[in-house]
Amino acid sequence: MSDAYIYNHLRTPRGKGRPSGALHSVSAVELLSQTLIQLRERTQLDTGLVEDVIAGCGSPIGEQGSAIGRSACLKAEYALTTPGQQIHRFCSSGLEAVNLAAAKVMSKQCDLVIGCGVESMSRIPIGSSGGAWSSDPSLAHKIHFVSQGISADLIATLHDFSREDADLYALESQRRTAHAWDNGYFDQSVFTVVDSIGQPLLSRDEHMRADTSLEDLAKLPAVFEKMGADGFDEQAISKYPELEKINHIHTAGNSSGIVDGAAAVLIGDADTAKKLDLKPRARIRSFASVGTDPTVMLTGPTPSARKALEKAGMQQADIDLFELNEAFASVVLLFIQEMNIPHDKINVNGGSIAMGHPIGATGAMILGTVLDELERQNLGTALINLCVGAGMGTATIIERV
Amino acid sequence: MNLVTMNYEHSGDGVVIITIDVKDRPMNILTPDLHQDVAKVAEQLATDEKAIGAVIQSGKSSFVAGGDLKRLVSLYDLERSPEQAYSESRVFTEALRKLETCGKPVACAINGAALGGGLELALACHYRVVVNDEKIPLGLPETNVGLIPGAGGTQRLPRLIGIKDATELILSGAHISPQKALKLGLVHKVVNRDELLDEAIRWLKEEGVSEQAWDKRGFQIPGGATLNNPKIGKLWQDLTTRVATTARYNYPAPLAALEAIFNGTTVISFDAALKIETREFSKLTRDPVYRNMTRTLFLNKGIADKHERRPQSVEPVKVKQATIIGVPGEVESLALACATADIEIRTAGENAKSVAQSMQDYAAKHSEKKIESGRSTREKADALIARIALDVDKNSLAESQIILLTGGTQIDTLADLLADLSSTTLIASTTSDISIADITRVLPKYKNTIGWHIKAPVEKNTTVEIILAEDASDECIAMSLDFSKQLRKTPLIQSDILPLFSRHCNQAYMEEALRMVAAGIKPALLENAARSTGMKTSPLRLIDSMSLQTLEDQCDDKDAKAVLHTLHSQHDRKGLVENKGFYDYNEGKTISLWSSLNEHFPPDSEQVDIEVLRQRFLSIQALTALSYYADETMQAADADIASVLICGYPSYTGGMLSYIDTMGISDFIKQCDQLAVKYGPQFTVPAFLHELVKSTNRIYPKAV
Repeated sequence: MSDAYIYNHLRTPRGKGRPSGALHSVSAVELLSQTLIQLRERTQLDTGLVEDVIAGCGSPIGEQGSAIGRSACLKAEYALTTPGQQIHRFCSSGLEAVNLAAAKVMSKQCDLVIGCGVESMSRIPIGSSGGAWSSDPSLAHKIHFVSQGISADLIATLHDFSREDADLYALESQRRTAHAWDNGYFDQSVFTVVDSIGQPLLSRDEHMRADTSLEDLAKLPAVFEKMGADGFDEQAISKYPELEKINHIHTAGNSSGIVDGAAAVLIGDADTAKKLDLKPRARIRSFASVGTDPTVMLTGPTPSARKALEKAGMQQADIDLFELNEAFASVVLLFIQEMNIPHDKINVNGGSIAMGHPIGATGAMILGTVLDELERQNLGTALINLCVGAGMGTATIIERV
Repeated sequence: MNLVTMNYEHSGDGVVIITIDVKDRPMNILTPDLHQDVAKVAEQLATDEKAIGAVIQSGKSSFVAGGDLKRLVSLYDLERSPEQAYSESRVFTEALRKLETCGKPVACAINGAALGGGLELALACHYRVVVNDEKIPLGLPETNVGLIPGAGGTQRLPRLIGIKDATELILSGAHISPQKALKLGLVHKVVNRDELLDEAIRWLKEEGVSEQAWDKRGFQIPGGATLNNPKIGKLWQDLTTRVATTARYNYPAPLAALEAIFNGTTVISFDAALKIETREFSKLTRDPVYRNMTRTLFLNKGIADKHERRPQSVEPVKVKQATIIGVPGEVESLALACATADIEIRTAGENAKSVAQSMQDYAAKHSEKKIESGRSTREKADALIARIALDVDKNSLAESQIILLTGGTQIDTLADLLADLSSTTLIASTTSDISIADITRVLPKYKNTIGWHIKAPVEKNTTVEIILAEDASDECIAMSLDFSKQLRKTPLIQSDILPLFSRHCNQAYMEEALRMVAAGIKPALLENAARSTGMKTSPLRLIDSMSLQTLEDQCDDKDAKAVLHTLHSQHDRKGLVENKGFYDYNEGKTISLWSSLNEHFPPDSEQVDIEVLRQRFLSIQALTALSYYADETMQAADADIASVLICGYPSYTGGMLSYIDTMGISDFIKQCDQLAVKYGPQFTVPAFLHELVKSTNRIYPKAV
C-alpha cells in the first residue's frame, strides 16, 4: 500500500443559495470548472497526469447530473484523457470523494487524483433528486422517515440540549468565522469566482452574520415545528416512544445555511509529488463511513470518528483539531458531549452555521480549512467528519508531513 | 353464451345492453359468477359482428354495491398459498381488462350505488354517466375493511384524476356524490334519471371510443407521477407519514394502497400496473386484519343490527312515549336521541322541572346547529323540541311505555314514584349506579327491568349494551331491542352479571397502566405504547377523563390505588374536570404530562420493552372479555363489537376475543403465562382457555 498525500486544495467562496445570491447566475459545472482551473494554475498541474476526478454532489440531477466530474474536466479543458465521475453520500459526498481519491492512490491504482465537490443550492434546490429513502412508501414507512431538521430536534430532545445551548453555539460559530476572515485565515484557499466575461462575482462567504446577537438569534422561529406537527414528530416519537414530545430548537440561525459553492483537493503519492515538484502538505491517515439509525439520522459523527481512529491506530488524544460539519447545532453539541472534546479544539474557525453548507462540496471544503489551520497553529493531526442523511457518518483523519 | 348474473341483448342500431342482475340478492354484489360473466360478455362483444358497442346497466335500484363480505371473510380460512391467492385475485382484474380492451366502446350507466368492485367495473368502461342524485354513493371503501381496491381501482383512478385525489379517495374510503365525482373527473356526465340510458347510447353512437387514455402512447398521469417530479416526491412523503401516523403500523391496507399506487403509477405498462395491484391485494387477503375487521365491524355488526335473538312471537313495538328520570347533566343527550326517534319525552321525580328544562335546552341548542349547517329545518326543530314536555304531569308515567333511569336517580324514591306502573312498562337503567337487582329490591313486583347502557352523547354513539335478567320475558327482550332499533343503535346483549362489559374492560386497561406507573415505567412510554397498539384513548388520558377519586374506590389493585391516591389526595390532581390529572390541561385541552410525575413515581433505570407493554395492554383486556365469554354472559361476536365500538380496542384485532383467536389460543396462553410471572396474577389464564385448547382450539368456528 502506498501513502496518499494532500498536495493542495482550494474552494470557492459560498454564495447565498437563493435567487439573490451572488453565485446564482453561475451554473454548477462552471463553479466546479473554475475550481479545477484554479487548482491547475496554482499547482502548475499537468492535467494529463490526473487519473480521475471524483466529484461529490448532493442533488445529482439536471445540470448537476450525469458525472459532473467529467463535465467539469471538459469545461476546464483538462486533458481529454482525464476521466471524471460523480458520487453521492448526501452531506459527506465531498469528503467521500476525497476518501475515494485517497483509496485509489493507496491501492496504487492511481498516482494522482482530484477529490472534489459542488452544489448550487440556489439552482437545484435541496431534495430535488427525490429518492426512495424519503419518498417510496415501502421504504420511508419502514425506516420512520423524517426530515433532517426533525432528526436534529430529536437529538436535542433526547440529549436535553436547549434552544439557548444551540443559539450560544451558533453565536460562537459566527464569531469564530468572522475572526478567521478578518485575520486572513481563509485567504490562501478561497479564490474569486468570476462571470462569463471575467468580472468578479464573489470573493468572500456571503451567508455570514458577524453582527448577530443572542437576542437576534432568540427571535428566530423554530423552523421545523410545523413540519413536526404535520406528522414527523409523531413518526419520530413512534421510534423513540419514551419521549412525550419533540422540542423544536433549531432555527435558520443555529442550522447550516443554504449556499452555492465548490471545492477541490489534489491527492497523490510521494513519487508523483516529487515528479511534479509539489510538496505534500498532509498524509491521509484513515477514513471511515458508518451507518446508524435512519430516523435520528444525524448521530453518525461519533461512531465514524471512532472507527477512523481505530483504522489509523490512533487515540482520541492524538488528534489536535476536530472539524465537524455544523449541519445543526445539536449535532455538534452531541459530538462534543459524546467524545468529550473541549470546544476550543473543534471547529476553531467556525463552520456551516456561519458560512453555509453546499451539500456536495462541504466535506472537501472543511478538510482544506482544517489543514490550513493545522499549518497556521503548527499542529499535527485533525479529524474531519460530517453527519449524513439516511443515518450515516463519514470521517477522515489527516496528519501534516 | 351462458350468463348467470347478467343479460346481453341487442337493442337495435348495433347497441348491446348488458344488464346486471344478481339473482336472490337485494343488491348486485360481486360474486364469482359475476366475475366470469364480465369475461364472457367481453369476449362476446369483441366478436359480435352486429355490435358497435355496449352499455352496462343495473337491473336493480343500485348499480353494484361492492364485494360479498361473507365470501371475503371465508377466504382467510382457506389458508391459500401466495400463488393461489394471487391467481384467484387476478380473475376479476383480467375480466375487466378484457372488457376494456375488447375493441368496442363500452359505456356505463350508473343508476345507484357504485361501490368497491362496482365502481372498479365502471372505471374499466370507456364512458361513465350517472344519475344526478346526491344520495347515490360512489367510492372505493375497501381500506375500511382492511383491503384495497383489487380490480384495477388503484391504477385506473390515479390515471383518471391524478395521484393526489385518487389516493385521498382510496385512503379515506369516502363515498362521494355524482356531482363531486363529475368535478373530480371520475365520471363524464351527470343526467336526470330518465335520460340515463339515452345518454349512454348517444355517447356510444356519436362519440364512442374503445381505447382508454392510459393505453395510448405517451400517456401522462394528470398532475404528474414518479419521483423525478419533486412535487410528487413531497406528496409521497406526506402520504407515507400520514399512513404511518394514522395506521400506526397496525393496519396493512393503507400502506399496501400507497405501494400499489406508487409503484403502479411509475410503470409505463398498464398490464404491469395491474399485476402490481394484485400482488398487494392478494397479500392482504392472506393477512388476518381484513378478516377481523370485516367479520366484526360488518358481518357480525350487521347480524346484531338484524336482532337475530329477538323473540319472533312478540309483535314489533313502537315506543311513543318515554319518561326520563334523573338530574340535569345526565339526561339531555338521551332525551334528544329519543325525541329524534319520534318519542314523546316526559319526566318525573323531585327535580322534574329543571330536568325537563335542561333536556329541552339541549335539544334546542342541538337543533340550532343543525339548522345553521342546513341539516334540519325550523319546522322539524320545533316539532322535535315540542316532543320534550316542560309540564310535569303525574299521569304521564302511566302513559309511558318505557321509564329510563339515568345517573343521579335516587333509587329509594322510585318505590313511591313508580308504585302504580303498568306491568308492561319497561324500566331501563342507563346508569351503572343502578342495577336490575337494585330496582327489583325497591319494586319487587316488576319483571320488565333491563340495563340499557350507552355512552353520552347518546345522539352520536351507535352502540348500546343491554343487560338482561336471566328470567327476562320475551316481551322484555323484544321491547329492549325494538327500542334500540328505533334509536338506531346496535344492541349488544349481556346477561345480568355486573359489571358492565365495557366498563370492566376499560377498568382493566387503566389498572394495568397504573401498575406500570407504580413500577417505574415512564408515563410517556406507556402512553405511547398504548397509542401504538391503536387503542382509541391512551390509558392515562382515559383515567384523567374520570374522577381519580372514584376510580381509586373501584380499583382492586393496591399499587394502582396508591398511585391514584397520591395524585388526587396529596397533590390535588382530581382529573380533567379540574384541569389537573396525569396531564396538565388548559380548559380541557391537553398541555403535557405533569412535570412532577417523575419525582413522585421515579422511573426505573431499565425501562420495559415497548412490545411487552403493548402485549400487556391488549392481553389484560382480552382476558377480561374472555371471562364474559367463558360463562356465556356474552356471545363472542357481541363482545368483539363492544370491544371496538365502545371500549376503543383497535379494530385491526377484530375485538378482544378475535385478538386471542388470531394469535392462536396456545400462543395467547404462552404470552399470558410469561406476563403473569413477571407482572402479576392478573395475567393468569382461566381454566376455560386450557380446556378450549383441548377441544376446538378456537373461539370462532372456521368460516369454511
